Amino acid sequence: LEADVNVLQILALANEALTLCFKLKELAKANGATDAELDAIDMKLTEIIERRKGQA
Amino acid sequence: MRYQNRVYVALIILALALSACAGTIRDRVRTSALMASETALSLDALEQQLAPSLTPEQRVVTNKATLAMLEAVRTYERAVRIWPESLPAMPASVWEAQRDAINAIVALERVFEDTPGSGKLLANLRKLRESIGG
Repeated sequence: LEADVNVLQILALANEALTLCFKLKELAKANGATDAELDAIDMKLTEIIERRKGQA
Repeated sequence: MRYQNRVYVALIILALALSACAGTIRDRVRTSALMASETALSLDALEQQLAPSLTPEQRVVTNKATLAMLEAVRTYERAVRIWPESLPAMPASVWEAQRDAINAIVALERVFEDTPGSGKLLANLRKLRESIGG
């Protein structure tokens, strides 16, 4: 019976750890630059590069 | 027996925490690529402000070096953009683009080193280099 309780405790703790890790990952993603942000800045850089090539 | 179980639990938690941290490296690099690109845009504006005070020969040199820097930063941003989420380690393409971007920034720093009134531009170039990891 004691062994069963230990296994259940481990499973419960592992479940909590998993939940915490998923939350951490979501939080990290929220802090990282999105594809849309990178695409927008890429367009601005491309515009400026083309303008400079025209000046050269 | 109970002590052994606690060790297992601690190991499981540690492994999961490490996997969670591995996911954040890509996100951190993506954010730094975005910041680097924004700094590169501000550098373009600063160079345009400084251009009228330069000789035509100097303008040719600064335009060429600024263009090389902008292209290198864009290549870095693009390499970071296509970094697959499933890949926890930084891909070789990102390392290479990072190295090339740092080289282009250093080359531009050298061009502006002796140009009067370029203090703000040089400070931004240092900021750009540091945000990329150089």
